[in-house]
Amino acid sequence: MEISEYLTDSRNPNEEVRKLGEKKIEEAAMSNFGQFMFQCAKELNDDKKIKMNRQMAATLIKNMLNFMPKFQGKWETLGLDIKSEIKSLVLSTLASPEIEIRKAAALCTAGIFKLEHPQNSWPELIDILVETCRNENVNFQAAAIITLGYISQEINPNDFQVSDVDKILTALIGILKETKASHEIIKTSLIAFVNYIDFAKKNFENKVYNLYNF
Amino acid sequence: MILPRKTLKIRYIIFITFKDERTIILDTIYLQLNNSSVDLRVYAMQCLVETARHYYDFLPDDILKIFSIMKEYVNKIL
Repeated sequence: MEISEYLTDSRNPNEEVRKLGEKKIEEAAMSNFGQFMFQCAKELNDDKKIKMNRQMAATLIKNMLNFMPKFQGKWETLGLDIKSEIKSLVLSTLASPEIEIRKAAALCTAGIFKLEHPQNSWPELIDILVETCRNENVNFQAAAIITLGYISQEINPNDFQVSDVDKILTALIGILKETKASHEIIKTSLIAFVNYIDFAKKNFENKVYNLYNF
Repeated sequence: MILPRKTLKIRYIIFITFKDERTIILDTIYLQLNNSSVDLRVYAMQCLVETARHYYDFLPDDILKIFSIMKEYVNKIL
């Protein structure tokens, strides 16, 4: 399967070529969903590929998993190995030097987490992202914060574990209180922070005093 | 004059302050409301609005402070 070719065709201004590209993409996804998702994740992860195709691959992963009824339930049927490889490829793309690709990977990560979260099948993700929020590399830091922001939009506040909310709030507050944080990092953190206020019910209601490592 | 040994002892009193979580969240927002960057202040204001929208009933201790911040902002605009 040559996914790059299909992706390029699906962006073609010529309607005929574009429709054929879209049809090939759909056929490929229908015939072997796992392999198609894996190819898209590889495309997204590959720095040598065309940027627009990489963004398109991320959008396809997210949309097929979260929005397209014909692919609903397909992710759950995939084997643990292939799911793990796809998650690993998408997650490592968050370290891309290009901001558009990092954002695409962040959206994709949040989309996959939305499906994995009910079964608690990606429990380490929040810890990884919270840890990366403290990374010295500003790009990695920003990608982790953006991903946390997207995750907050995908998950119902009532379904989120209180301990995870605490970890995320602690990380974001840590950044917002950091005097050396750049404008971009503060901006990204504030955007994510707005989304997590809805999750902080316990923190507002709780009369018990807790010691935080702020 | 040499002081008797007893009086040379220095006693440290360590104050450990515990802030409740609500205060920590609000203090962070107040901090960013004073940011020199206009767009960051706007985002901080959105945080405050969102906080009041969800947790208005838990804000009685802070309502005067929030009022004075808002008053200051309005005065600046006017």
